[in-house]
Amino acid sequence: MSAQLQPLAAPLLETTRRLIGALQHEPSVEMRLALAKRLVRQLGDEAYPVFLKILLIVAESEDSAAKQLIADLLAAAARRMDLPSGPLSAWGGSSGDGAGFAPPGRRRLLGPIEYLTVWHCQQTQRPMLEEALYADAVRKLLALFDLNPELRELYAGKLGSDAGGELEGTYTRDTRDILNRMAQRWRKPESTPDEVVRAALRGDAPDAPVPPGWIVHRL
Amino acid sequence: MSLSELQSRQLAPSLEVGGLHALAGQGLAQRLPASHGNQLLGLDVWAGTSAAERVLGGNAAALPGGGAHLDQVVGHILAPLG
Repeated sequence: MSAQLQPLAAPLLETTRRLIGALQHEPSVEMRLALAKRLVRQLGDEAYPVFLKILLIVAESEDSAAKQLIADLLAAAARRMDLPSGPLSAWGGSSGDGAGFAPPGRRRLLGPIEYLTVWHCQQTQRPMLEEALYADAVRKLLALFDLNPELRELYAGKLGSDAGGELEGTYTRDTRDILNRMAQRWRKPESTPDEVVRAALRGDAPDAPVPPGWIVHRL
Repeated sequence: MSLSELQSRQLAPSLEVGGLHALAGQGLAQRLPASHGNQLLGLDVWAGTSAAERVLGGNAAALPGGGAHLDQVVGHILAPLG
């Protein structure tokens, strides 16, 4: 599936290494935050998934210092309610190529988890994110974010607040439901990333056996 | 401290990257159309590496001494992406 982008693997890895190196050399939290936000800005609106991929590369690494560095950085950002964010078109906007794009003014800035969830659940300027990729990405990000308890608490609280709020035109009901279930489960101290993702996507109800031949849709 | 203040500040001396331009990442959006977002997330950049090789810190390409502005550092970080 990713063969087309395989040539990007080495550059992405090197970019991630350079980011970690730069962050490790910078003692000021404010400057680290400014650096991360400038990086996102310089990537451009349509390339925010590259930033998400960088976070995932860190999450997939075996570098505990790098992981802690990123978790602590995002905790500082969450404390300031200033997580590095990317824009997706509001769900009221149409999707597709060309004229169907929502105008830039209707796009909303979303943090990593919210961005992935809207990307997965809603019609935006991007083709919808497949569930398997969504689940895998969120699971890895949650594991990364769990390294800083304050980040976990703040981010889970934000997701719950977003899901319960009335951000007109930002989230569909399906997105709200997922974010709400995710927030509730993530707040439970003993919950693992896998459990959080499962609860977010399927709810906590036990799976009922499906009669042979039935096709079940999540409505 | 405001962001505008930060923008005019120099980073720690070890982050000198003089000579690197600040626009390295600008071509990426054009090379990464929206339809490739799914593929990007699915890309395994660690394929073929052992656990011991999956480290990120300590060996980043030269971040030589001296002061560098934020844009220069970001340009250096994004340079591999062209």
